[in-house]
Amino acid sequence: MGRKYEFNWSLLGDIAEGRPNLGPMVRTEVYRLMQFCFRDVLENNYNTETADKLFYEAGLLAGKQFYQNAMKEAVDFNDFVQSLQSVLADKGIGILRIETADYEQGKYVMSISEDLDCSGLPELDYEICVYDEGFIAGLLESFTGERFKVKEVDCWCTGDRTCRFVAEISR
Amino acid sequence: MKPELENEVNEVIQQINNVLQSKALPARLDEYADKYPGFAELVEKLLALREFTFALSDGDLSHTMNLRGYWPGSLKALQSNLRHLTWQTSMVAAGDYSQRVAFMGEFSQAFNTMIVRLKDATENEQKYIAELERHQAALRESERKYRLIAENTDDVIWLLDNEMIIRYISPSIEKLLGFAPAEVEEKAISNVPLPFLQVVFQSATVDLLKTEEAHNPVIIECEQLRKDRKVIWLESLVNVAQNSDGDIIGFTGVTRNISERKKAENLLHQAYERRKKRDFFNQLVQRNDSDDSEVLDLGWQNKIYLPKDFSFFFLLIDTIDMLPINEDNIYRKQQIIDTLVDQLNRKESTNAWETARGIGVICPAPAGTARKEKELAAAADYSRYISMYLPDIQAYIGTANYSDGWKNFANRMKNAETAARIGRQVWPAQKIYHYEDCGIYQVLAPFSVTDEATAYVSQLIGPLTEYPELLETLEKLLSGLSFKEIGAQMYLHHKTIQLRKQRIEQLLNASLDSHETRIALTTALQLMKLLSGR
Repeated sequence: MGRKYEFNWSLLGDIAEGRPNLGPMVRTEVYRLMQFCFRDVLENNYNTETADKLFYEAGLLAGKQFYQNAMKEAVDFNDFVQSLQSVLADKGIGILRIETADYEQGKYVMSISEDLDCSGLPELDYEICVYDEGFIAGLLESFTGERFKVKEVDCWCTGDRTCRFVAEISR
Repeated sequence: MKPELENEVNEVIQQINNVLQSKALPARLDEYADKYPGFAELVEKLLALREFTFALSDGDLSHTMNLRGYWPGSLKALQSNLRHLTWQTSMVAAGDYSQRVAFMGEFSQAFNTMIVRLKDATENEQKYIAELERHQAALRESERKYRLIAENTDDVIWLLDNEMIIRYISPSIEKLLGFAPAEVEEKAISNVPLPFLQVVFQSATVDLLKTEEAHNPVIIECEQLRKDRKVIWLESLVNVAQNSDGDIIGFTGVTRNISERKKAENLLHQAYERRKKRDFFNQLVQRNDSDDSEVLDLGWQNKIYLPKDFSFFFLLIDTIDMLPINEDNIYRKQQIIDTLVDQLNRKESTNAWETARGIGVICPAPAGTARKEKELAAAADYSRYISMYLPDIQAYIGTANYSDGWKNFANRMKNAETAARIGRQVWPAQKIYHYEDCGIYQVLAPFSVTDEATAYVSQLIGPLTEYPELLETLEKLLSGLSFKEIGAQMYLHHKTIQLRKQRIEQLLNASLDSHETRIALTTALQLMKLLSGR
């Protein structure tokens, strides 16, 4: 049976043509409204773990598509980071910073400040950027060709000022 | 509040203050922690914050803290920024100057300015290094080319410093003189067997350094002994060597073997000298009234050093005269004469020149008595000298009669030539002749070159020319020997000699007993000998 909603980049449409007056930008709370409502409905219909899993997978798909369609091809990791920093800042997603990079072990620690998903949220006592985790994993997988597992260790929602992610190659 | 409770609250507050202010932990911390679990949790968090903050202050960015909330979050954000700064710095260290800091206020501006300047400095350094490498490559290439030239040319390139030390000499020195560069390099020229460099240094010092104006190269020629003991001629083109400041640091030059050129020059010089003498003496032969002082002056003007009184010799060269006449032999004949004339001119106090029929030679006349014997001895000396240098040459030397000065130069030349010619015909084994010994030939010789002489011989002894044995017998009969003596000499019976005498008289239609007939026949026989030598 054929799928109805399989993603492709063209589904995002021609925004310049469709929104000549309002433009491509939308307020952050509108984005978050949709995301948190999705999360609510999914948890209600399935459970918390499943909702998180679906959000991670959605982020993974988005990360891969974003790398393919919104980023230029990088020649090395530094070039990749620079490109990603630039495009994330340009699109108002967040300010990416690499904290450590262990190329031999394939382990990277990075933080995102002013994150689109969580910065400014009330303290919730749990990390909430599951979509970001998948998104970062999708980007790294696309760049390196290796599968990555990404985990958020600090989050605005847990009282931190920045979201910190640890990304490791899945062996 | 009860005083006891108030005291305890104050004590707890003091304990918390001590946690924040003192390095050492308060003594009663455990007591209150046991008593109040909430206090224990608070102290535990404060201690975690203390530890994390201390690690940050100590530069340890790897420390982790499991606390959440505003305060720990801020510290972790600071740690995150510092970690990112560390990563960015490592990227800059690896050459990525696109890194910019945007999250640490004034530090960001200073850091970013530093990166821009570092980038500029690095780019300038890279440009400088690239330029330096280009220069060095060009220098290496230039050096390679010069070395290629220096190592492959036959000419020797060298550099002498002001202390007369050989700072460089090209490998071709070994080919030119047999010495390896290592034998002479970095040594003073006085300590190496290269005297040409001493000549060069002295001459160049005089010629090149006499003015401070532009120094034009000088050419210096000199002889040099090779390692194999052969002497060769060298030519050195020398110029001053200057450093980049224009200071003179010594001399540089190119030296080459010019022995072949010198040889050619020498041959040319010899040819010039030979021709000059030939023209000079042959002109003198044309006149027989030469004044001594005039001749000596003329010789002086031509740089021909002439003795006031001289012995005169004439050389006839048999080897040359017997060569068949063809183009090759004409050239060869001339070569032999030139060589002989040059060789004779090398002999002390000797002037030699080519004449129409031989070689004229003069040398200072011997002093004192027995001049003739001394002159014959000198002629013999010339004969030996020629044999030594040109053993294939068969020379007959005629010596002229002596006469003071140059007045009779032409006559003496004729006399010497006559002596040589008569000697060769009459006494061929003797080789050395003096005009005074030619006797009747002195008279006959001038007549022998006339047509009448031939007619005279034909008229008197012509019928005997077909009978050589009769001619030989006639000569012996005219010499006054008896029949027996002649027979003994010719291994014949005396009666045979007698019969031959009758036969001769019959053929000549004359009596050999007549004195006049005998004189006439004797003269005819001598003339025949002279004629056969023409």
